[in-house]
Amino acid sequence: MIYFDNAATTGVKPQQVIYAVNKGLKKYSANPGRSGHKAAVEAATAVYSVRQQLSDFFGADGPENVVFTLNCTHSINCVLKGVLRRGDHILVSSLEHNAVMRPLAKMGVSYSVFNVSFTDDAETVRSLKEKLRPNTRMVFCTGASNVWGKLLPIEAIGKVCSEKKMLFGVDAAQIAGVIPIDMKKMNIDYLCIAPHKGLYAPMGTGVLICRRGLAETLIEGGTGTNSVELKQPEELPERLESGTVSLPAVMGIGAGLDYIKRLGTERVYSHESGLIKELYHGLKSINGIILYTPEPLMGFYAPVLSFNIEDYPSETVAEWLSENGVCVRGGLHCAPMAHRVMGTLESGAVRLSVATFNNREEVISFLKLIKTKKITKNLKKAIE
Amino acid sequence: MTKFNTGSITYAIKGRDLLRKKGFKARIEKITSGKGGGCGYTIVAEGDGAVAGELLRKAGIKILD
Repeated sequence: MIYFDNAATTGVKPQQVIYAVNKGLKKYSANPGRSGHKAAVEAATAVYSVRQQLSDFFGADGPENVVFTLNCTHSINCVLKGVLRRGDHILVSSLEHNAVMRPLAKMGVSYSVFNVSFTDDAETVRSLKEKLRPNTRMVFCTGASNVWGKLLPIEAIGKVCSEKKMLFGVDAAQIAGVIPIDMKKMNIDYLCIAPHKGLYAPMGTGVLICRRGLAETLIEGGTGTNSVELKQPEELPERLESGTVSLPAVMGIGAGLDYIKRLGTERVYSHESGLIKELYHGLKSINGIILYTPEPLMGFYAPVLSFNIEDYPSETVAEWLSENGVCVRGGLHCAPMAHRVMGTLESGAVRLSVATFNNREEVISFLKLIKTKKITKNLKKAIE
Repeated sequence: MTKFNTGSITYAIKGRDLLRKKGFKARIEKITSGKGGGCGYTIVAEGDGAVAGELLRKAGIKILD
């Protein structure tokens, strides 16, 4: 099997992550932050140490600002619904995932879309500035498109937000663990992370790192603090962590982060970028392949690439690839805005996304498969 | 021995680790019922309570009454 669907979740979790999750289940079986016995405090200390690791890695203000959520979408909802009020205006990019757009649609908050240029980051920043209004409270944008891979100029956007005294939130689902992120340097106020992607952690837990407070909460409940008060605590992380966190998954996050730190983010990005570049050039040389972006250069693109084959529906191509042992995602990738930008709203696209365990041999095998004339014959058969 | 009620386990661990780094013997206990709003954690520190308290306050660790 060739697994090129890492933008959905990294398909191979390192042994140390599996071990850490197991250890979380066996060794730290007490609830971290409810009782006062030794086992409970040890469990809480284990969770705290992962908060500390995440805080150091992403340039946060301290471990107490690292919140464990259900997933990245939950983190994004916490930010948007925690910050925005009636009458506020928010700027989002033209490539946002539904994790951002659906909450905004439900909230009925006023938003404008700034255009992301695929060739000129300065143009992206210009577009953002043009859309600013006097009541623009926040910019929330993806770090990289989950469809086209385009990296947004986060540091430059953060600078604008700082100058204009606006809040800045980032959906780091596709970049955490791949591209260096320093919240202080980039003026990021809220960082939403999908640890099961670039941090190789188990699915089912997200991370939200805050440098500012959140006025409203999504969920209220038991936090192990100040139980007499019916009011939700003000302080993070407990303010956003009602109920029990998934300690085994948190241990997995810590181990996944260790894995990435040991390899080095630059080395990871260089490896994955190299594979995507080879895929791009290989696909470009094949008749009938449609590519939509310029060459995905390092520093401008995350390791994600989407394409189509002639006018075949992307889901059909993805199904055919699956029958031949290749895992990819076809369709709209929960990001209709990104497809609207490229004119692929009808066809969708076939997405390739690589990780540390993918290699050149897999790229070569995939391109050989795509090159065979049998593909179009079989696709034609598949859709007849 | 001085007790510092932090409420949150996160701040209790942060405070405990900070005091230990500064040479204090420190551990975490549950807040005695009736204090801290009914639930929470306290840092129990041996040594100069005033110095320990100042270290915690400088680190932004909120000490409950």
